[in-house]
Amino acid sequence: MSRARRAFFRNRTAIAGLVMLGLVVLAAVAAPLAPYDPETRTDAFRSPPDADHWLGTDQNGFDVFSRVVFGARSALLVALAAVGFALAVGVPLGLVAGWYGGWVDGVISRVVDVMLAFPSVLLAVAIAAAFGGGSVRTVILAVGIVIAPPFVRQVRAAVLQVRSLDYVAAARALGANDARLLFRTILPNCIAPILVLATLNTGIAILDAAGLSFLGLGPPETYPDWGVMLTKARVYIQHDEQWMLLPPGLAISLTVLGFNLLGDGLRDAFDPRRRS
Amino acid sequence: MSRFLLPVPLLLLCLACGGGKKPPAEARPAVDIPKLLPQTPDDPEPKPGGIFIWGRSADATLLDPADVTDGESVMVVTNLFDTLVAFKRGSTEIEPSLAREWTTSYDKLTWTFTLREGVKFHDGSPVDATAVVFSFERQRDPAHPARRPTSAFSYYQNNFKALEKIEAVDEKTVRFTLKEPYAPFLPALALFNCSIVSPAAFASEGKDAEGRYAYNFAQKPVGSGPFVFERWEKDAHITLRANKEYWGGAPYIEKLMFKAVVDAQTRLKELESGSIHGMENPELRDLALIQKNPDLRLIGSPGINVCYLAMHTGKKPFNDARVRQAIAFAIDKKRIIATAYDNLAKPAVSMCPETMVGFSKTLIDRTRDPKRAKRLLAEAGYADGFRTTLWYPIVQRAYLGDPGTTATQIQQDLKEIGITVEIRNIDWSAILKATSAGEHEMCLMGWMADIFDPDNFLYVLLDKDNAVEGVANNLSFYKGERVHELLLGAQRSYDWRRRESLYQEAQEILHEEVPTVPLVTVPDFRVLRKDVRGYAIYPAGGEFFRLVSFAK
Amino acid sequence: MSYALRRILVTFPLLLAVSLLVFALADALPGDAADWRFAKQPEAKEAWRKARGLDDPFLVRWGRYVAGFATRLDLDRSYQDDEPVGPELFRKLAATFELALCAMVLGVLVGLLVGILSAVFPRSPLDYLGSVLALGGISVPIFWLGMVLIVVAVKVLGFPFSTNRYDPALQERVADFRTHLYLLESLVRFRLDVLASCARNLLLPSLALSTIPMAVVTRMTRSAMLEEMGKDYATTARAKGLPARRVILKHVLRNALIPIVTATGLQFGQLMGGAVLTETVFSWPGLGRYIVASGVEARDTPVIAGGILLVATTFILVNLLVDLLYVLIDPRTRRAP
Repeated sequence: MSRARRAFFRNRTAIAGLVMLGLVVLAAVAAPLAPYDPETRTDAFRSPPDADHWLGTDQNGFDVFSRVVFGARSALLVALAAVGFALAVGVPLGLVAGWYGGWVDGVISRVVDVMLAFPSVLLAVAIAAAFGGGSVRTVILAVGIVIAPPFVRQVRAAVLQVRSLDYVAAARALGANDARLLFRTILPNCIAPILVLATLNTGIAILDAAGLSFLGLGPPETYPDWGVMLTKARVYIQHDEQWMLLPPGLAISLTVLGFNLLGDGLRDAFDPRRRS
Repeated sequence: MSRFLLPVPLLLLCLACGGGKKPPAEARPAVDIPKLLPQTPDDPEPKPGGIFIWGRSADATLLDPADVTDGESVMVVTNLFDTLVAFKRGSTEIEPSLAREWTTSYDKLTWTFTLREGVKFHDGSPVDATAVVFSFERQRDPAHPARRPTSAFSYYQNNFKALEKIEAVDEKTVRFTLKEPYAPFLPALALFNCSIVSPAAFASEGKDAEGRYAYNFAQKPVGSGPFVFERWEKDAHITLRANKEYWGGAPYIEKLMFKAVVDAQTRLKELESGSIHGMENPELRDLALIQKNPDLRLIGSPGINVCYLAMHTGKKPFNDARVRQAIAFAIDKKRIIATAYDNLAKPAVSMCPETMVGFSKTLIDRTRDPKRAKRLLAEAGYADGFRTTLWYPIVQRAYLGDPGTTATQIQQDLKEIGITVEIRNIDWSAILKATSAGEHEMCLMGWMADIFDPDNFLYVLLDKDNAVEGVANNLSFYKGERVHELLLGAQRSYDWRRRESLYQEAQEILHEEVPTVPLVTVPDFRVLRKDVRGYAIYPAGGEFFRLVSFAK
Repeated sequence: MSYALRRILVTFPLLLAVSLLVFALADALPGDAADWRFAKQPEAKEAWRKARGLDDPFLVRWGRYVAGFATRLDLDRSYQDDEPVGPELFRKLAATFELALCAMVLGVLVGLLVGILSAVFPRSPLDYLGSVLALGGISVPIFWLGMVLIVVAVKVLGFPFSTNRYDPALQERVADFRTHLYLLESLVRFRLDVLASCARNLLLPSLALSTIPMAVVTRMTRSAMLEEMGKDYATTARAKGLPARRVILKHVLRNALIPIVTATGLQFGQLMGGAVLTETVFSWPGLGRYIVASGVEARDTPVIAGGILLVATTFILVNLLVDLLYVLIDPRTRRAP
């Protein structure tokens, strides 16, 4: 594990990712320091960037800069909650499927197959609409459900790999029961791939969530969320009012890029063969 | 290290595009509405030929004139069919159409219409009294063979409650008998649901097991109008061709196409590039751009519509008039007009729009006064404010402007006086259902005239008859008795002076009780290519393309 | 052979399960188009519901639906006007299919080129470009990229913008087409004017959508090429004095292509779903936008259910095809059980 850690910190891509994410986290944490309240209008509206409003104001009169900064909170919240949900549901299912095999594995794997038979964005849209769209909670749920299947598969594969190893047999011989085995012995060995997958999927979760908000299935337009900001910005691109369009999109790109670079770095660190 | 440079190209893009500086909204030249004409120039000798393509925000749902409710279907239907009487071009005056003259009894309960000679439907069958009776009977009689079990025929249900019977006196004469006087009778007959349809077409495929006609009229309409139905490619185009034998004079264009383009930006782009020749409902914020474009012509007329905030008077705290008045004092209509309507709407002081006859000219709107609003709230016992919800529809209707922005501005207005509003956007079908069932607390809604009569606004939107849960149009569920008396009286009278004074009193009471806060009225805009001739806006609704041609 | 057979057989229960999920989701949608249609007439609505059998139990309705689709490709009738939704859905499916196909082709071609060049000239500006494409393509939200593309193309380059699949003035020229695949059929029938019109209108949206496969293919190509180039046979061949280009093109590339081709095939299905966002931004008349518009505005349940089912079915069939092709291409898998 420590060898991996050393490799990680020597990896420049990983550091770059960490720096980008650091910026985003900083924005999220320091959000209350933003010049304006993102949900209270100011006197100006649709005004270009100036000394008072560094990124201008939107059509309602909200300060764009403050909303971008607070948007970091929304993005991280949604992404981490969605991935958290996927982990909480996906990891145990994967463990159970891999360990017990038989019909349990059969059922779980079939369900995963069915879910993976849909293009993810479409499935997320359908689930969000079924839950009655219009809130952050719906988005988290929809995205979480859609990104859970890869975790199930990954964990299951890792369990299958590990279960036939000697030390597992040894632990069993010593009388350890199933749950203990699963959580104490097997799970720690799956952490590496899970971590990589989680990091990469956080980026995907942010993109999917932004997409759902963009389509109108997310929170209402007063909520400071990058996807929501882009829905309204869309109608103003004809008017050269690009200050509403570019910042939220760049923010999303930066954040997702950060997670992708971080995930790549982690993957390289854990897999000695891949270091190029 | 090379990967750090990744943001550079993105940043460059940002700088390139973000350089556009714009003056603040107030300084932008506004469109000069009074100078706008409601029609294009006309050619004294129009050039025949061409395919005219009209762009709108959605496809039609069906083409049975008695069953249509949405504007996209209506505009197609008004070109396929004729009614007994019609609106004069660009006005709200009635003129003869399929009926060349009519007489009425002294008590105004019997109306006799004489039909024009020699008019035929597109399938060749004659337009006679039988056809007229057929067209009305199928809406009246639930067991009529030309009626599907699922046909709603809502316009007939709403507008012809007063009709007792209709009969064909002879081949060219039809008689209507009313139960009680109904002032909007003639304008109601000019409405598209009273289009005369071809009975022969209905009967052409026999009957099904339940005795109903098998012919799918809603998908293959047959009328007597200036255009004949040719093809319908769903969610894409509807194609009509000119009826060369039209009794009123054949159209100049060869074909008329209706195209569905959902997004207003895209519609405008298509108009700019010539893929379509005319469109309705431009986004208000695009109007200045449109006027600058030498290939396009903007036309407009004062609208007959109103956008309003409804408060459910049956629910606390909206049952207290002081709370409603406080809200009315808090709302900043000017700001809403500036942000959501790009300064192109007029504030509305009554639920009956200014452009409508019967509008109370002496009513003065409240000036914005947050302090007074707070006092009223305190008087009503809500010194600390309260929480509530505001629903608004996601749909593109000109009079709704940008409903999200309107709702947000109202939310911010009420925030200033201590009321916390949670706004929610809801899709069109869901919000119609939910609000007519009275599930809302506050909602944002709009209304456009069906019939050019103040009854169509005040009675429909504010009378207690229309506050029945599940089918309500009166979304504030206001059940004021005095207003009810006044509105019914005005509905039954043919004396315009009397009607006006009744409506005057009703509007004053409504202004005081404020069950709804009328927000704005929006002009009707159309955008056409410069080379289009002969198009006019019909204030009472519908699109009519018979006289359209392309410049030489 | 038995692998292929088993693979095909597994598809049927999968399709069944998928249809069940789709039907359940569509059923779960709150409110539907019928509410708007029968806005103030509860009795008419009741009559209509009876006539459509909507009060029957869930499994009965699902069974009817699946049977209809399996036997007649019947996707039920709209709630708004009781017309069959099938023909319209298939027309939209063709539009999305062509968009995904163009994006795929564009993405793969560019990705291959950049990937090969990156591998052959590591650490050069080309390699840098490759990294930008690879990372950018999967990090940038595609709907935002589409909007930026529109701004650049329309405002900066003056590129005309249309939401038709072809210029409506050419309507007569496509009147005798058998399928709705206008681009492909105009190619086959050699109608160059229609082809040009289709291609022009497809350019922007497929460019935006192509960034996803471009990113994946660039990365895969680069790493696959590097891996192959490091292998014994390649270094041996070079040591023997064979020209580098020949080595690369004949052997390395062919071996590297196998995993790339299969990954590409699998991507296609995802693209069809991902097209939802692209279609919304460009107002492209495809299935994704139709489903979303219906789901968010009209709530016409059969449209939503049918649309998702069609996309999922196409996805599954494409995956099946790719798996079978893989068996054919890669001799190593034929021996595997």
